[in-house]
Amino acid sequence: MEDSNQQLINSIKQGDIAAFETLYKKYYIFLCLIAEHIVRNPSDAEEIVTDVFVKIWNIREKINITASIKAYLVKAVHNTSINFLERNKISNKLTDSLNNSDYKILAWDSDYPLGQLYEKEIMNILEHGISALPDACQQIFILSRNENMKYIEIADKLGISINTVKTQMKIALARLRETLKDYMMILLFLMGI
Amino acid sequence: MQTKENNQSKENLIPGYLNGELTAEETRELIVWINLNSANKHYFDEYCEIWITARASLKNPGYNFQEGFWKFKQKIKANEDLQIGFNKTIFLKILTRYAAIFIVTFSLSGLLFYYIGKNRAAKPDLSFSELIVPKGSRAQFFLSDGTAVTLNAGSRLKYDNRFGIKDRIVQLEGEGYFKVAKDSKRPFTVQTSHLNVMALGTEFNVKAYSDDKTIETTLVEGSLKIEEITDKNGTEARVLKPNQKLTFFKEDSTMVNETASPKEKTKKNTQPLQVHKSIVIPRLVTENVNIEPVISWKENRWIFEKQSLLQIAVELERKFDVQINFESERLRTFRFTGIIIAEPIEQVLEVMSISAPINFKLKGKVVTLSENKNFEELNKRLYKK
Repeated sequence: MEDSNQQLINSIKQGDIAAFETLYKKYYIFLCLIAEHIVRNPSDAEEIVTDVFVKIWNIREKINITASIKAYLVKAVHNTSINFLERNKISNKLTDSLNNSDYKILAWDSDYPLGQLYEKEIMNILEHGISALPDACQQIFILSRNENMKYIEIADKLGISINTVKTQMKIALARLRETLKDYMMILLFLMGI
Repeated sequence: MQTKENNQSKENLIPGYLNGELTAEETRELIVWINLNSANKHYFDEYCEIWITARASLKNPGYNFQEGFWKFKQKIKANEDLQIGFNKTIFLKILTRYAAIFIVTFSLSGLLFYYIGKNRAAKPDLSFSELIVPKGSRAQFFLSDGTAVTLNAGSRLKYDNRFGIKDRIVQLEGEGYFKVAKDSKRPFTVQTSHLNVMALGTEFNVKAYSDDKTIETTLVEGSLKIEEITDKNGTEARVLKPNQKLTFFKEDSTMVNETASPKEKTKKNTQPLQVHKSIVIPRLVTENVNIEPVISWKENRWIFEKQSLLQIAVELERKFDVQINFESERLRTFRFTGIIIAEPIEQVLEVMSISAPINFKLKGKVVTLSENKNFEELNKRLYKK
């Protein structure tokens, strides 16, 4: 895995378009979701991720990636998203009412190794964790995640109260956290070295 | 005890935040809670990560890497074009199997154009690209921003090298189907003789042939804003929803009532937009339509819904570059409903002559349509109201 990482970095430096395609295939969706998490708008998120890749392309010869490419990309998307918010304060509904330092808190801590969960085997465990949730809990989690339904819509659809939805969502996330706890610890530990 | 409960309730805000359902006030409360200590912050980050990863593992998380990669390729290409100073216009990638497409590019160097780009060191020459699709063919291609365009026969699309820098403007004469690449900063505008059609990320069809009396805009997906081009400022913009068609009548409304009658639409869903200005007879009409017939030209399928033979003839003339003559006046008003999957023109005419009382003669590029008298019996049954 280390080798392929290094190989990929070399291909990027040489301006190999296929290497970029590999990166897109592997990380595009994940990176968009990270950007969306910060800027809260899908089309801005896509643009941010594209900009990051274009930038990497433009400086490809001078680029210096010491750790993994994924970590590098996640960091770049994180920073670009924060910059984007700073430049477009007016356009963002959420940040209207918040000041700069506030939304930086809502983005994640720059020391936090986001993206470690985004590995095939761990994603499988996550999926497994989701399927192991109690039925009602699972249904609500999936509705919210897969169909982007608002709590009130879920409550309507299932004929339950909005508070029940909230509680079940909390349980779902807490359980998943429990499922993934060991992995998070290990990953944090590894990053710490 | 009090603080612990308080703590608990703030933590409960996290799922709401992830789902984008918190008010500003609640968001602020959450931020205060996150700021209390690094453990809270860490806890919050973990939740975010689970959420993002859970969404990324979806089959359809709302993003498409191929689309993204295409945009990336177009962008780096555009950058490199910029660096060589627009010597060549390499904007188009032709993906068509129809050979008869002319691309005309020309450059107007030396002419003074007002150029708005701020960050550019030198004024580049303004160059145009024009794609001309002659009658009898069809073209499919991508613009530099990733927007997919299909042009119908006898159409032309024109744009200059400022396309994609600040905004995305194309000029259309004829019929085109646009699948616009998402870009919230640079709206996509199709300019026609009378209307500007503005989109962000949508799919729509514009039919604006200069020899048609109407301009028709049909929205398949997303949302569209349409403005009439007039001298006076502040014309109202119309907003179109999916499965709606906006018809603009170029001529004075009194004329339209006559000329538009052969292709009269089902009146059920028709509602004049300018209801509040009752004196003005609407030149813009919005109606709900079935999308399929409108965009069927893209594939070699022809879907007709109660279309007059006259209207069909106009489209056949464009598509196959032929001239169609009617031997009988009555024939023009025959209405035709059906699907034809056929090419070349002989086959299309044959299919039509089987299902309607039409005889056809094809000589070179001239088609003559006449009534099929033997069809009379069936005709009576078919066309009796």
